[in-house]
Amino acid sequence: MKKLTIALAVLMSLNGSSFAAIDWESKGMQMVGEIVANPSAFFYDFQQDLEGTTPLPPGKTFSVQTGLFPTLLPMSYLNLSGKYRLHGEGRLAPGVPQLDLIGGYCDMYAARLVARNSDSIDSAKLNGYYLGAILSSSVSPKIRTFWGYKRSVLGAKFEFTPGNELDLLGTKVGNVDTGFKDDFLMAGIETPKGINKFWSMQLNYGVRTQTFSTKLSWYGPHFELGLNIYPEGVLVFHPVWNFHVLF
Amino acid sequence: MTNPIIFLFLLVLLPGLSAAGETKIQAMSGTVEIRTSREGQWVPASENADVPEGGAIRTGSDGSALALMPNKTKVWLKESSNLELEQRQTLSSRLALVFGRIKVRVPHLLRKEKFEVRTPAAVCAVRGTEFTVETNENGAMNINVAYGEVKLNFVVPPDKGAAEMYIAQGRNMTLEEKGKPGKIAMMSPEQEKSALESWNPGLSPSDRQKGLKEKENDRAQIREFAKVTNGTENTVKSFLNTVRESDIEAGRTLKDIHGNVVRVAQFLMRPNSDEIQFVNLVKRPSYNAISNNSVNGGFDYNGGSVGNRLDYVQMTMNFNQDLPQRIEEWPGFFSGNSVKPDWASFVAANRTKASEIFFMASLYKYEAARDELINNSRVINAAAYVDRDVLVTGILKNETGVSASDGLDRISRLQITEKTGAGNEGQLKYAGGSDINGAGGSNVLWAAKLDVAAIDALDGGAANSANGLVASYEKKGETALYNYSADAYLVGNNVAEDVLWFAKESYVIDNAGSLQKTDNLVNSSQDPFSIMKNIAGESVLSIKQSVGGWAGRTAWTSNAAAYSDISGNDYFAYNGTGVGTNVDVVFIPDLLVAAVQRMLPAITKLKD
Repeated sequence: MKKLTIALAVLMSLNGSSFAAIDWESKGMQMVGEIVANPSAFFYDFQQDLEGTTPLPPGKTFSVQTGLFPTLLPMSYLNLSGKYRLHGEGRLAPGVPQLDLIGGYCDMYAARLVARNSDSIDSAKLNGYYLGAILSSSVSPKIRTFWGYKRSVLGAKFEFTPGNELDLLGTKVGNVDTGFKDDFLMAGIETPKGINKFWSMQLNYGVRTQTFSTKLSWYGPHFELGLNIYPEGVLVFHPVWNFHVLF
Repeated sequence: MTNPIIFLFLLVLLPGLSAAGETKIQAMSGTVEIRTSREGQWVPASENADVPEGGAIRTGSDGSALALMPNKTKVWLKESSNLELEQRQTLSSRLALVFGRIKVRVPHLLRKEKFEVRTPAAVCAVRGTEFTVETNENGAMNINVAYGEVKLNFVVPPDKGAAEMYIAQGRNMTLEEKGKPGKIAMMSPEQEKSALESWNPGLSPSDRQKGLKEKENDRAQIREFAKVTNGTENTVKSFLNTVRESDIEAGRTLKDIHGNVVRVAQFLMRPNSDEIQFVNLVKRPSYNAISNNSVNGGFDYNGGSVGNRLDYVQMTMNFNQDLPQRIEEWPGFFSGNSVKPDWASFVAANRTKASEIFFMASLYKYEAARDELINNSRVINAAAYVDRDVLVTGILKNETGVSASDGLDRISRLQITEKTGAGNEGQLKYAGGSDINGAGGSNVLWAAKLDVAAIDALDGGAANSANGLVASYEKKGETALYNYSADAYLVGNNVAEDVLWFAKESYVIDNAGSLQKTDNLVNSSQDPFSIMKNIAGESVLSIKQSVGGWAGRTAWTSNAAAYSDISGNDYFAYNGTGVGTNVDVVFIPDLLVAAVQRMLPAITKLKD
């Protein structure tokens, strides 16, 4: 116990000194700069939080999922995702992996609210979808590897009220239609940690943006807890909480 | 031809249509007996012996066997087991384990095909599965599912718990006795090992685990490989960080608005420890531009076709302190109030001929009273204070002791001063040194920007502003992203000297050189980074003569009138041709985006 207390004390003092070294104001401004430089990519990281990209557990045919944190709260992304097992592992032929189709849609409700309460923005829509497929194959009774592909699209459309248009080299811009599109390759590993409880780790690679992200997930019959890591994102670590039902 | 196709088709279908074959004893060890019908007698088994539907296999306390079913299902029997082949049809197979322990590997089944294993307590429906079942005559049972899944239905539904359950791979189900609920748990390492080891008859315990050990070795090698990969990844990351942390650079090849192939290279550098410098180099193997763009409201180009053209823009900023080595530390550095810029310069030049440079420079000096960088007559240390933008422009040639390049470097570092004295209006000298316009033929001037208030003041208080004078010209694109503009400058801020027009054509183009419209940028549904990879900005800068000069200023009563005063002729002649040229620079936003992302705090702090 004494050793533990000393170790904790040392850790906390180290933690304090490292925090003191960070210039929080500058860090905050730098983050704002990154968001301004590419707002779609910033919001897309939250879309990735709600995307279900792990395979269906063996024996399950389909699932529905909705992201609770940070997507619904506080980002106000109304979202629904689904997975459908096209065939189970080894069902078509020995060694043929399980094939799941995945997809989902999300809509940032706060963007609409902002437009409703804004004098300068007439309408604002921030919505996205993703579609893909995941193959999963067992390397041992308790370890499955999976890999797949997904196409993710995030659209952001803003319309400005007359008189509040943007000025671009003297030209009035009444609306902005921007967004984020990428094709992702995914690979991961999954292992059960109990009856109907799984742990998985996956790596995603965006082919067009050439960015990596990592997802660590713990999920049971109804909830998924995760930690998504976007090394090149504005917020590198995203704690994630999703609700799902498996059938 | 039709008949062979039908024949082939039937041949393919034949295995599915034919009657099911017989189960064979593929391997055995110790005491193994078979029964060929439900009421038949047990007889000693032999390898390749057939066991038909209704038959059974049993092993003694020293026996084990491997049976191969016609659908390629393999069934291993451990010692003291009794297995009946209750049903064996093309689309339905059912085994009944009376007691003992078996392992079943069911490969691919046809779409409607069923495969079941019955015990005294339950029926297990399987598909693409490998699992073991152990039971006794009272119905106690134990199932380990190695791969796939098993759907289990209890013969006697339990009082509590489900009558049907799915057992996924990696799980174990135990049933203590008939009528009690089954318990599912994760397979223990021992159970996993037991399910995965070889069950082939006659193997010693060490031989049974041989395959597992080989797999374990493979896994250890994979782990080792992962470690090495991780190490390599870290090396790559560290390399990338090193690259990122070094001064930034970017480059792209594209076409300009005139259709010339352009290579743009950008660098963000620190020429001195207290300076940052942004350089945008534009190289063209050949250069052609429209000579009469005045018909479009633009400005004429008089330089003709040129080979190996080099234009560049250079922005330099000097601070009162050394900058941190790492760019990431700059935000914190600039948030310190003691950091001030000393001076800055913006130079655009056409250096196609190394010994003759056409350029225009805007210079800035820090004024403590205003706490900002100011471009006015103080940047050239002028005797008379003129608080308006000052432009230094002209042709630099090699002079005694100062080459054209050296001269431009001195100008960009504000190492210049006004040359005073009668007849020297608009002339400059290098600080503490020689005249810029020496025997080499350099022709460099400084000029102050004109506006209506300045014209009034220079006129001795005449109210030109009341006449609606303008000292600039502008034409904007509608939806197309271009802009033509010009500002009037008075050489030496002296009414006896010339007026010159600093003319600018700005375009937003894509990599193919096509003029962009706002829709291309704001309604593309693409993220800004993807858009920016395909767009560029182009600025064509020139210094034009004034048709009417200072005397004609009263005619500048409208935008069109101001445009009429801008001559098609250039103010400075270049390269001995008797006509002038322009500076035509193409900017790519790649480096700027990276720099803005990383330096926005610094830029925000500096404001102006």
